[in-house]
Amino acid sequence: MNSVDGRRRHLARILPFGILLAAAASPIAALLTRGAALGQIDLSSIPGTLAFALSAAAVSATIGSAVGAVIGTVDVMARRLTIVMSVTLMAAPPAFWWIGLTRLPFGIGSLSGPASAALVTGVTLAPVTLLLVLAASREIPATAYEAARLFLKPRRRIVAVLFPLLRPAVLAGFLLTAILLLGESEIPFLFGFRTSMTDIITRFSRTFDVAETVPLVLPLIGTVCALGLAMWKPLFTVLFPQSAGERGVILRPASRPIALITALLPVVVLLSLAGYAWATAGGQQALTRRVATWLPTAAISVTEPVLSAMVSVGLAVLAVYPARRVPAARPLVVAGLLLFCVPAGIVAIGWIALAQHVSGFSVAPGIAYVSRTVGLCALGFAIAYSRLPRTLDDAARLVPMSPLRRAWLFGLPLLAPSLAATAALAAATMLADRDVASLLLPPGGSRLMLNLYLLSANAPTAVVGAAALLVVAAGVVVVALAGGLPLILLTRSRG
Amino acid sequence: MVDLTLIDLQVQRDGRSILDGCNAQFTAGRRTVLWGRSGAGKSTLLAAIAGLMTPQRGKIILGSSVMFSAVDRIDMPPHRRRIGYVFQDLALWPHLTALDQVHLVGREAGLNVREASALLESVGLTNLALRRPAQLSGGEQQRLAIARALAAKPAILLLDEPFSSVDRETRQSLYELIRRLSPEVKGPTIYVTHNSEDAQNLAEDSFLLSGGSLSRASRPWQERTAEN
Repeated sequence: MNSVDGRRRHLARILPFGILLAAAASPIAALLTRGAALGQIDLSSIPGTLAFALSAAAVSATIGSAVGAVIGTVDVMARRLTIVMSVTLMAAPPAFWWIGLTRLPFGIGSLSGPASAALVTGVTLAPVTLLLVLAASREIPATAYEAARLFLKPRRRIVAVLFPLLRPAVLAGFLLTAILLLGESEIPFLFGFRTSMTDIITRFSRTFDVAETVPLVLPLIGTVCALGLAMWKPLFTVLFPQSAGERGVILRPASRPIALITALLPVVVLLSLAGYAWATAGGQQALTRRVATWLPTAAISVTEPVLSAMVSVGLAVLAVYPARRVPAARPLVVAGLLLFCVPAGIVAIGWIALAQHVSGFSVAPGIAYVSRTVGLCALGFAIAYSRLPRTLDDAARLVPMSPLRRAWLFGLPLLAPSLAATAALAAATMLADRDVASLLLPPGGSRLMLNLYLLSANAPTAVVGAAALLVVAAGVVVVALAGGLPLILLTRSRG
Repeated sequence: MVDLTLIDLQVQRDGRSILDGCNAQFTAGRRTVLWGRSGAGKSTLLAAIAGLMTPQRGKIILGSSVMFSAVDRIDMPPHRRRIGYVFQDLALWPHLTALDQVHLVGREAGLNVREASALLESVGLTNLALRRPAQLSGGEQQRLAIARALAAKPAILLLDEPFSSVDRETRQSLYELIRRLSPEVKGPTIYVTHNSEDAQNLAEDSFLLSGGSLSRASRPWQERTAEN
């Protein structure tokens, strides 16, 4: 086979992935096309938005890297539970945790302004950096860190060896958090300040003209892309292993004060949930009837993210599997990541623009969720595949059967745990969404998270508490279903 | 000059005894080869001496200093034990230059940058001081690992089969290097191997590790060669 044939074959393999990403990006392209005629750019809210996002990301990266470095290098009590509890913060948006904290009997609800908001969001998004630092600590060669333990005092070990080796994770965590915060709208509303995203939603709600939002959308997407391009290299350094062999820091027993650091994020989760529980305790009788009316909303709020996540993972697997061994697929994985970084609200407005452009059809939120998360799922697949020994795939390729059957029997079952985790993460982001639901649902439509925000503005505190606890219950079901279904589907007996 | 003494040392891993009742005295200023089959617990013993693994029972004493005593609840942290260690996979820090690796470790013992450079020169790494491990050959990496182990002027030098992956010619030069540098160590130099060529070239004393316990043995690698 000559090099031209080889290139053609590679191109054919990455073509489905390219088409999928192009389809997923089409609403954003439609939105930008609609507004391009105006030829305006409104940069007024970018400095404030960046200041908020970067300061919150700095808080987040500091806390996440400190906690991650401790959990990644020492053996703390109930380590797994601590990690799960900490990561739970990512299953709901910062505003959810903040509203819970404000319902506690001691008053912390009077905070306002970007600085307070940066602190709150910084703490609640710390698990982003924490997870990356944990992943990076598992890539540190065990003996390299043992050598540091032997040769260097603790402070010098941390400064000269540990943090330099974790630097890509900390940097990627900082940038990813900043990107996520560029799309944050609820916390700025709650803390009483403007960002690009609040301006976009406010302007669209006032005019219902997608083109009017483009002068604000354009610089925001530009900023997201700039940060995304700065992020992909350190992120991929962490997520895609460099070499095989015995890896990961050997955990040693921790002193009590150090172990206490790891309790910070679980304490935030527990306090927030306690706030909701406290709020609910006040009015149990009145709640029973009200909760019953929420059940249809709860059912759709669970079904929609689970199905959307399944579709998203399914499409990603179908498109990326043929390209799994093609190096040229890597830029497409980066593009998929960037697509996920575009704020959900902008994706929703993009779908409205596309629908208006075509024929005025209405778009279900699930479609917007799939188009936003399909890049994330492709990344999840690529990470999972890169961690498989190449020889396993090679051995499967020697078995005489169709590629599809081979993938079903040998390839995908090996990737099942990672695909399950990806599906659970995608579903959790969908359940946690407010912007897509508020923009795409028809009048009268409701979702649990959307309801919670609306209720938190003026409903009795017991009602808010009950709505939040229902969101928590739905979240557990969503993660269990979205994570469990791929596992059942891909690992059931093939006999 | 200080001897290293092990008394009734027991080390378990995953509930299984790797070392059980190890007693030994390693003489200061001499190179001792620790001989044993793969999986006998040689690396575990070095890790216990270095403080990278905590024994369940016994004592480790360097001269008059107790580094570990299960009964007295003494467990000196690894970085205070004054140990130079050449790991089997060398364990060089991938982000640091050769000079940084040596200077960082030696700084506590008062080694300045010029002395760190001189140490690198003494192991044959002249002009390679600013390279990172990935930019060095296998033999150069071994030399760097030895220089790093000696940088803090250790009281004990432990070598865990560091030459297992280099060619014969490089091995010869590394034997020469170890023979030249080990007398600078105040205490014993312990070399773990199951390679008879390594043992032949480096041993002044030898111990056999078998069945979890240590015994002084005269050239145990020759027995194996004879058996073969």
